[in-house]
Amino acid sequence: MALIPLSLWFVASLIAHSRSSYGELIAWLKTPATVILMVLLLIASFHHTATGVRVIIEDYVHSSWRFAFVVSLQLVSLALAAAGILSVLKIAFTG
Amino acid sequence: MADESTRNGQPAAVSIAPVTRIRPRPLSPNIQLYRPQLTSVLSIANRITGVISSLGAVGLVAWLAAAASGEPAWSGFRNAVVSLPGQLVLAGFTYAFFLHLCAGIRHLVWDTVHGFELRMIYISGWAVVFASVLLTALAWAIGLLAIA
Repeated sequence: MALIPLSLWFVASLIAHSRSSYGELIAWLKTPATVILMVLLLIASFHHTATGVRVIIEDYVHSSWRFAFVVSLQLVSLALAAAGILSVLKIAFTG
Repeated sequence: MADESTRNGQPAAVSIAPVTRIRPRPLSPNIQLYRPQLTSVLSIANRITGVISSLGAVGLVAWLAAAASGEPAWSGFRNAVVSLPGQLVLAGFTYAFFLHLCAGIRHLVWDTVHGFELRMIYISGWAVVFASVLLTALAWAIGLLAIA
């Protein structure tokens, strides 16, 4: 449910920044509100992805690959969320 | 055409038994037998757009990583997105996102044990179809025209 406001905020922000320069975009990404909302968006998105795709795997994969697929999905989701959060924090504190 | 030798005299079970053994048992429901309906099409569309949105989330991470690694990487990413194929992919992601969002809200309403009458199922289903198209058009209209 948290994804409804977070994803709509993100889409609206993307539209607002569709013609922004690199500097303008970085300045926006460095603001505390953007950092917090972006980190929350990444956590909520990849949690939703991991649970959603898991159900699809469990519905369609009946072989012994099922366990490997689910574990891989969770590891990849975790890695992507971590990479996204790290990027946001790098921009916030250095870039 | 049936083989003459199996049709005349031979017990049917002799020739059929090996065939039935290697043929996989049918899974239920037999999806290919059903006529597509709004309900079933929206159900599978919700799944497909969910998977597409997951790929969009991968794109979000790539975009953030490009922005974090510096202006050259970000410019490369931006050039790919503003190209015609990039814009078509982005439009596809936009529609997938809005359909999944609207279908998800429909599911949240169902979670409150409301709207299960057949009439309401179809009203909310068509609402999802029109709202997702409208929101996609609105997002792109604002993006392309208003902020010029």
